[in-house]
Formats: sequence, C-alpha cells, structure tokens
Amino acid sequence: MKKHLKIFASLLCAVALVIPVLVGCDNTPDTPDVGGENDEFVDYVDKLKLDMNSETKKQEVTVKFFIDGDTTHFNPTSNASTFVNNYIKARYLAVNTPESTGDVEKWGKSASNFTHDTLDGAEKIIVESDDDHWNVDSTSERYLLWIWYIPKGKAVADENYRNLNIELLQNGYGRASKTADNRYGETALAALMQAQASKLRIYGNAKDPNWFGGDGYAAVTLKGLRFHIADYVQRPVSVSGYITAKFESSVYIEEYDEETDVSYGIAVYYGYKTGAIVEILSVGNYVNVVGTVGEFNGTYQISGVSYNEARPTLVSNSKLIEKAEGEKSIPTKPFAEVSAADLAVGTRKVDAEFTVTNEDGEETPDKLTLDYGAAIMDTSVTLKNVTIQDDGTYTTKNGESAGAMSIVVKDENGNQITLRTIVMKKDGDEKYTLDDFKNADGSWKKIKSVKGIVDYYEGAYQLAIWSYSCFEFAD
Amino acid sequence: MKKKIGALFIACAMIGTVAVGFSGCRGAAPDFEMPEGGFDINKPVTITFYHSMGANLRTSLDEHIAIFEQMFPNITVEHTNLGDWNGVRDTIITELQGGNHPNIAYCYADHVADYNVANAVLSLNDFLADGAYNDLTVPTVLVDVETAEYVDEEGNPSDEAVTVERPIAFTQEEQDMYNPIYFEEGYEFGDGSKMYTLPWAKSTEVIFYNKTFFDEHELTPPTTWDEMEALCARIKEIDTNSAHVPFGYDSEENWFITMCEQQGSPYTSATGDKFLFDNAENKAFVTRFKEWQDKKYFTTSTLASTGTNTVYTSNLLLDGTLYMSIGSTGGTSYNQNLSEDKVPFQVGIAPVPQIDPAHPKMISQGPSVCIFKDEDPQKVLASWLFVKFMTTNPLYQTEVAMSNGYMPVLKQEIMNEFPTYSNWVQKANGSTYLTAQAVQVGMAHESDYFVSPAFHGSSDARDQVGKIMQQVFGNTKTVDQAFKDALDYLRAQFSA
Repeated sequence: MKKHLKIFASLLCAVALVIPVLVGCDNTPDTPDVGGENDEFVDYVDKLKLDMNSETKKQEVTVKFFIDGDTTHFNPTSNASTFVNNYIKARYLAVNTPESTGDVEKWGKSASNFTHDTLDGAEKIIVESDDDHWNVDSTSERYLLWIWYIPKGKAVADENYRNLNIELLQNGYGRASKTADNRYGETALAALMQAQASKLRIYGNAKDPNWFGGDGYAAVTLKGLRFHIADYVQRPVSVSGYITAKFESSVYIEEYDEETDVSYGIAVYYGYKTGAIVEILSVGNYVNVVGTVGEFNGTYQISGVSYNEARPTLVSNSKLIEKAEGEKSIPTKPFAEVSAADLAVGTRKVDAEFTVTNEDGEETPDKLTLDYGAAIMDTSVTLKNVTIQDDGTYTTKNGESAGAMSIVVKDENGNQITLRTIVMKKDGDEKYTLDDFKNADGSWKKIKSVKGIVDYYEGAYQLAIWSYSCFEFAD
Repeated sequence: MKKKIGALFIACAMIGTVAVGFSGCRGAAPDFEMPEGGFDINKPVTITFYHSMGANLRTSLDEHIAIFEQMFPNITVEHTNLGDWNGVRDTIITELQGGNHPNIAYCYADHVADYNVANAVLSLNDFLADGAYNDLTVPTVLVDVETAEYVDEEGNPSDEAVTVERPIAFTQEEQDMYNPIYFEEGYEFGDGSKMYTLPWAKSTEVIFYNKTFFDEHELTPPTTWDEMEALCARIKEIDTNSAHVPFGYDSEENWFITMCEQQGSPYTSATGDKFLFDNAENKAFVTRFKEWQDKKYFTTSTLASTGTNTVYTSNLLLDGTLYMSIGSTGGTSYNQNLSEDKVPFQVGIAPVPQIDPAHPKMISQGPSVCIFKDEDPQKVLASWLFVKFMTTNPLYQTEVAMSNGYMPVLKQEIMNEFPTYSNWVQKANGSTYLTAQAVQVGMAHESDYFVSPAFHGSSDARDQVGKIMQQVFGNTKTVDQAFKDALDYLRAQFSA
C-alpha cells in the first residue's frame, strides 16, 4: 500500500517538476539529433548524486559482459561470494529499453550501444540496491540495481558518479518500468517525462540508425535467429553480421556474442544477384541482410535477399554497414577453434537467455539450450591437429558434385568428424583429389589446421570446406 | 519492319484514313466497347497476370504493383509465375477452352496467334494516342514511384492522396516514349493493322566468353561463322582436353531461325505456304554444324543435359568446360563468374556471329504482354492501365535491366535522362556489372534485330526446327529425315 501511495505522490511531483523546467530552465546540455523538439533540456542525471552513506547496498564492479541496454553482467571487485555464481547479473531498475538480444526492436541496438559506450572505459562503476537488500527479480538470478559510473576522464570522486538508469530514461532510450516506484522515482519520472515531451528517440519519429527492421520483416540478432530458427521459417528477417566466407552462390554471415562466447551465423543464398549487392556481400564486410528464412534439407538459410539498386534508399534494402579495411579482416571471432568432440551431437551445450515480454509488458526470462553444433551452425571455425582416416573417406564420382570429397578426420582423443569439400579446382580445370592429401609414400598428410563452415548432414555436424587453401598441413 | 509498315498503310487506306507513324487508325470502329462512365473507381476489380519471371524480377514486380494499387485503389493485381514460356502458353490455351483465362500474359506474337484462334486477345488500337478513347480520363492518385509516397501535382510529398484526372489511353507523349523497334513488334500478328502486344522487356542473343582466356591467348570473338570455325580449331589446339568444347548454344530453335534470317533462306511465312524451312540452304548449315559437332566444336543445352538435369551452356562456361556460351541477354546474370570458389575469369560479351557482317541479323526476344478480352470491361480497363503504367515506367525498366540484363523498351534518350539508369550502365564490366555490359551490347545492335512471322502454327514451327537440330546432333536422324519429319508433322497439324 505504501508503494502505491509513493507512486501517486511521485507522479504529482514529476508533473509539477517537469512543466516549469520545460519552459524556463537554462541548464541545456547539447542533445544529439534524435528527433527532440525541446531546446530547454534539464540534465537530471547531473542533479542526482550518489549518497555513499545511505542504507542501500553498494558494490564496486567491473563489466563482465554487456547484454543489452538495461542488462549487464558485472564482476564484483570484492565480496563475490555474496552473489549468485559469484557475479552480478544486473537488471537496471526503473527503465526498460527495447529488446536487442533476440528480436531487435527499434532503438534496442542503439540503447545497447549507449550502455556499452557509457560503461566501457568508465573510471569506476558502482551498483546500488534500492533498499538495504540485494533484491533479485523473479528469476532469482538477476539483481535489480541502480548503476552509477564515473565517466572516462573524470576525477574519481563521489560527486562525479552519474546514474545510468536515469540517463537512459533522460535520453529516450527506455520506457517506464516501475519508474516512480523506487528511491529515485521523482527524478526518474521527471527524466522520463522530459524525454517524452521532447519526443526523444523512442518517443519521437527520428530514424534509429542501428535498426534495420521494417514493414513486414523482423530485425533479429543472429543469436536470436539461431535459437528460434524454426519460428522464423518463411518469415522475412533483417540480420547484421560479418561476411566470413563465400562459396557456391552463398555467403556466410556471423556475429560474436559475448554472453555465450559463441559466434552465431547463417548461410545467405544470393543466387544470381548482380551489381552492388554482390560487392556488399564481400568477405570481411559488416552488413545488414534482409531476406527470407527457408529450410533446406534440414538446415536453414536466408534467401530472396532484398536489394534494389535502382532505389538505394529503400528501407528494405540489405546494406553495407562497414566496409572491410584492406585485408579481409573481421573484427569478431571468426574461425574460432573447435574440437571434433565439441561437434558430436549431444556432447556440448550452449545456454542462452532471452527476455519474453507478455501482453502486460512484464518481462520473463526464456532460457534455451542448443547443441553446440546447432548453435554455431554456418559459422566459421578452425579444427586443429587431426589425421585423415581411410574409413569413410571418399570422392563423389557422379553428378554435379563429381570430384567433391568427404574426408573423415580424427583428433588425438579419437573423436571423428567429416570434412566435406566442394569440387576444388587448381589453376585451370584440374581438380584436387585425395592424392593431394597424401605424402609421397602414400600415407595421409597430417592436418595441422583446417578452416571450414559448420554444416549438418545426415544426423551429424561436419565442416564444409570451399578451398584447398583452407588446409594447413604439418611439416 | 518495312513490310509491316506497308501493311499498316494499306489497312488504313482501305478505310480512308492514314495513320500517323506507328499508331492506330482514326475512324475505325472501336474493338473495345467502353462502358458508360468509363472506368469505375468505386467498383473493386481484381486482374490476373501470368508470366515466367524468376525471383530476381518478381520482387521488383511486387513493388511496382503496390505502387500501381496506390494509384488505383480499387484495382488488385494478382500475378502468377508459370515457370517458362511454354508453361504460360500451354496454361492459357487450356484455360481459354474453359473460359477461365488471365487478364494479362507474357507473350510472343506466336502465342497471340494461338490465342486468337479463339479470338481472345484484345486489340490495343483503341487505347493508342489517336485511338477511339483518347478523350476519356480516369481519376489517378499521384504517387512517387521511387518513394512509393503520395505527392501533389508539383511532385512534392503529400500527407494525403491527391487525385487528378489522367487520360486512359496513351497520350502522344507517352506513346512516343517507346523504342519504335519494339513498339512495332506489337503489330507482328495479323495483317499489321492491329496492335496486340506491348513490349515489356527485350533481349537478344550474344556470345558470353571467357575474356581472361581470350586475352591470354590473343583471341578475339568471332564476327562471322567462318571465323567461329577457325576459332574453334584454334581453341582445340590450345586446350587439348577432350571434355572441353569451344562454344555452346543454348537454343537450337534460335540458332536455326537466326541462320535462316542471316542467309536469307526461307523459314516460314504468315501467308500462303507457311512452312518453308525444308530447303537446301537450311540443310547445308545443319550439315555444316553437324560436322562441327563431330569435331567437338560445340555443345547445346539439349546435348549437355541428362535426364531431368537441365544444363545451360552458361553453367559450362562458369565451370571452365567451354569458352563461349551463346544465350539470351535476359539470362546474363547466369553468366556471371562471381563465386570465389570457382576459377576466376572476366566475362566478355560480343554479338552473335554473322554470315554477312555488313548486314547483321540478331534475334529479338524478351517478353511482350497481351491483354485478353473479358466480359467485364472494368477488368480490361484495369489491365490496360496496369500495362501502360509498367511499360512506360523508366524506374521499372531500369530494375528489370539491372537484375537480368534485359533491355528497356523505352527509347535510349528517355532512359539516359534517368540518372539511376545512366549511372548504372556506365558501370558495365565483366563481373558484378555484367548485366550492364549486356544491355550496352544489346542496345548497340538494336537496329539489327529481326522477328519471325507470327501465325497459328508458327510456335510449333519453331519447336520443330529446334528438333531438327537436336535429332541431327543427337544422331537419331539424318539431316534429310529430320527435315522431312518436321515438315510432315506441321502439315498434318495445320493442313487446314
């Protein structure tokens, strides 16, 4: 009951606070061009100070990894055993930013970037509870917290801490989430209402530069797509990532995810597209691809890539976001090292957590698990120190794939996996054969490393190999 | 073309009025009975369009249909891809028997001839600039085709739909946008007095060749068939792999018909004895090419395909097993060598070889569209408005050119004023912008294009001459027997 009264009182105060400041305040920090309509802008974050002597719990932390705009995992600098699993899954109090971990909502990625950029390099970060307890949400794992930070370059002093929760609200990155019902409710609500009145970001019509959704298709992360792939079949989607490989009229797009320490990807069939889109889908580029998810022989791909060169400004066009510089370098974690054991069905799992929002706006976690092989399907990997086995190794004799090879390899622990090549050609028309994998005495060469794309065929994960140069042989 | 204009002149003179240029005949009784009040914008009308567009083309089609439906909110356009030309033709012939046919279809003049056995295709003369209905208008919502947003009469963005009255029929300005070479193909069927088709997108045959190989060995694309023979011999010397052949020709039908046109030997006629291809000159080139085949100078799509696995010669070009693929510019995207897993080479494009380079002949292909008669005149009017919108739309024509290498049906000067198009054509190269190169080559030779006479049976004649080549190359018939059987078949089918 007390809390309800508190909310009502906070609302009244906020209205009283906001109306005058919108018309007459001189404290007007620069605001970015995000659609705001009000020049009289109050920096509520600057007005709010962290009281180190209050009854609340406080803990200095460093970032373990970023999740999205309103969730970050932190490592405590001390007292780690106080927290579940010795680290802090922080769900920010008072603010709910748009989703960006699975389905990507408008301003979700931008909010995530804002949190990342704000905390990355901060001089100090302190998390604070709302009262004298470390409170968790319904998952019993996520702590409901205020996030305080000292911006990079600022002196480490208590008065320099800024409240990120309210900063997100103030900048229009988040919607209300029990915003008034907490210890900083008045300020939080004032910041929120100012953002609404100023039509900032999610409250206005400005274009989100990091959102590539549109009418009729969903923006989704590659991680979200991979964990919910069946839900997206026959649906148009928009995904972003690096192009890691290109062969057989397809490219492979992937993006690394810090939370699970795994790259997620998917094949993109570009078929007989011509012109600029072919250049956009070059290896090394960071791109946004709009297309339709389809199922093909038990695997999935994006096809029907949307790109209209005659109308380059179409929202539904696939886009080049960042061109590869010089060498085809990809600043994520492509070609991550895997073992044959990792890719055996059922041996290694990947757990991920998504947020499901019900019709009432309440968020609940959705924990999902995939086979490691299924999680990293279509991503680039490196397999090291394996030997070729006679049993199961063969060359396809007939049809379009005549000359393609299936090469069974085994690691030092006896784990096997198949490397499936395309028809690999030398200069001219001569094809590589199994003889190219043998020493002069007829024995198999030892493979020091081989790069490939994770593929699935007849119930097992395998690596798809597109070039003889993917192999590095031991001396 | 001269023949056709002559026929048009005669037809108009007979009714006492001479048409101007390639437009219709003033004073003629209308073929289409305009309903009272013209086009009814309050009555929902759904029209159907059969075509054979691949995925590359369908996206653009969908986008422009959406714009058209904004302009005419009571019209819904439904379209169906029937896979290939024969699929469109055969489906419609079947449906005409049941009276359940589409409103618009991809077509060649041959097809119109078949459909008009049932008198099913609408003459478009009434909708030409000097036709029967050039004083009627239709309320049209103004939409910017590039942004798909409403605009006002000055072209500025508008929050609300602005409706203006626009002519139903062609204005002279609209009609003059078309490349006359393609526009006149609309008169191909019949006596030349009536237009039955409008050009949708055009293509011709060219040589796609491995330019890297040609440059390396200082070879040049052949301009004559004699040069082709010598070039094949040279390539066989350079590449002794018996599995490799110098060139491939996708369509035996086109090859036969093109040879007839180039050497001036009879093929078919719309009047009198229609099937004229069984003659010594034509047997001579078939015999010559059979000798080439015995030397493994060429293959065709039919020879290369096995069972249900259709192989186009573009596949073989990209696989490195042949050095020249003769096929349609409309299939240019299939000749791009872009996959990084394949042996890299630049692709060059050259006109098809000639018998007499001073008088070149290249086949004119690519879709036209026809509109079918319908008991509901609103459907006919909606179909006309749709066809007019799509074929006079430089943006759509640009998108079709970009995606597949089809040539726009509008005049080059019209297209060149459209920066999106002109900038794209300038990017022509042998890899990612191969479609632009194909359009450049095709348009440079548009004065060399020919079309064959269209009549009931011409479509079958085309099939049969293709079979002659296939049977001779496949060693299933002698040259004489193949010609005889083809002619016997056609005479039996169309003796009446």
